[in-house]
Amino acid sequence: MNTHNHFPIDYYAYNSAIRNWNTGYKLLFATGAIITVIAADSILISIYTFIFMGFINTCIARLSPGEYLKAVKIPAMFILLGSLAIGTGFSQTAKGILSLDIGVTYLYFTKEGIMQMFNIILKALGAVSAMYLVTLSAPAGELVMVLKKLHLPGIFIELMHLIYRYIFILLDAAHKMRNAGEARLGYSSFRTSCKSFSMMLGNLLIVSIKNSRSYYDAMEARCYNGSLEFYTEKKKPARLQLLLMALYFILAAILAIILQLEETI
Amino acid sequence: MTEESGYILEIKNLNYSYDNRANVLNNINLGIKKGEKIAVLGANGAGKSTLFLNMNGVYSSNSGDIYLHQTKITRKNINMLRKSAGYVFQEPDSQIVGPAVFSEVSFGLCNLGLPADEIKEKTIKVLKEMELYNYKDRPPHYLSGGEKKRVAIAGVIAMEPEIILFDEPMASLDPGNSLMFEHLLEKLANEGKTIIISTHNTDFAYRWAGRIIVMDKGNIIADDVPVKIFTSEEILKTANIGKPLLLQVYEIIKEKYGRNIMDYNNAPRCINEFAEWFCQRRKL
Repeated sequence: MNTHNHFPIDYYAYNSAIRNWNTGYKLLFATGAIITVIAADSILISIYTFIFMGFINTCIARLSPGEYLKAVKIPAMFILLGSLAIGTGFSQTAKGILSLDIGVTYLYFTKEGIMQMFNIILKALGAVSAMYLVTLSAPAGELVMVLKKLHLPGIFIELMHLIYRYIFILLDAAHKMRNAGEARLGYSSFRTSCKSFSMMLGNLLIVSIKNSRSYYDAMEARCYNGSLEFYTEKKKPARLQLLLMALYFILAAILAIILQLEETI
Repeated sequence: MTEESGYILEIKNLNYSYDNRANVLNNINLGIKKGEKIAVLGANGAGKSTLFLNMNGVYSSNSGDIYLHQTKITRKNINMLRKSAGYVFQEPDSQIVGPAVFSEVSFGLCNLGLPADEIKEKTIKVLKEMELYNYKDRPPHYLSGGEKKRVAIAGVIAMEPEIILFDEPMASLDPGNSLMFEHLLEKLANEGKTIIISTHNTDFAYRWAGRIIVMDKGNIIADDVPVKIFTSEEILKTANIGKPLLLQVYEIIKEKYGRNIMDYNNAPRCINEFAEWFCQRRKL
């Protein structure tokens, strides 16, 4: 199996234990959960969603917790840095619960600011974990099929299919060229690296243009007539899967009601 | 004239050039009968792949005609030719477009506009025949070279072509996969398919083919049974192709120990035939 330069996300999706679940169902579940998290705007529901989705992604989809956390870490870094800016304020005088004198101005944190920051971080993490339900379990090809059913224009569907297919061929070609360059000491110093890299890019472009012609020939050879069609098997979501989705939304609703009650009391 | 010819595919006076300058194919005339096993030999750049692309209808010739079952192929019925003469490309990666094995094999069938049930049924049948059913949901970039080749072949066979064109099919196969491929050829021949293979492997061509076409610089310079081709020094020299090993050995033995003149009537074509012939001679 050729796995030396795959995208981890694609690889996880292909190996997921819930890959054969209906993709439309996954997309609906994830979108529903994202909307719930955003609409509820509550730390508790965000945490609940994060845990619930984490449970599905690791225990049911059989992704190892380490791999899952690695996947979450990427957006988490962005979220953290972005939210930090929301939580902090600048002022001429010291205020809030903590302020740092950085010479020209004070950097300060207020309790509300920090709470808001946490709320946003958790909301984003909750939404990301829901999104990962789809990205880590549905191969790109199947997602495109769902988008097709949703009547996305054909040109986008075909582009997505072709890009997904050829990005791996492009990566493979780049990888081979890189190795060929390394084998001839093309990357031994900074100067030669720059030169070899630019030559590789030029080469990739030429090879891509040349190959695109033979790819098109190959499609025509099998009666391609302007619309890219594949057969897709219909997979109905099982009752247990529907129950799982129902469980999530019912628990979320109960949590929301409890929160509402507490507020009124 | 073509009515009684018995050819399923006939090419007449075909010329082809990529940019209207030098001809890549020169005045090609060829008739192909049902069930033939044809090997196309020739150096790189002799025009083998271009000929195949013309035979499959992807390229349209500058002049000359192609007839399929006595029907002239025009722009309108070009898909008839593409369906009837399936083309397996040399590089499986340039042929595979689907995001997974199942969808890839169904691609041609979808293009033919068949009903969904039929597509499913035919795809599953081919996947099982090619021992690919367990890989049906696998994306092509997680397949090995041999598996990719099988997927590419499956995608063509699924369309049930009468003629299958293989462009250097064994160029990148390991011995195990090559053997598997030869078994497949046998099976396809038993199903009555016409098979045309371009190859550099003269041992294989000599052993397998019933007819050999030799190309050189865009011309067909010879079209005959294997023994005739491989015993003509002139053809071998012009097209720069080697003599099959078994034939060389046969000639050496004949020359050394044969009392009578060289005859090729019972020249052995495979190892088993050679062993039989050898033992008979030596009365072992």
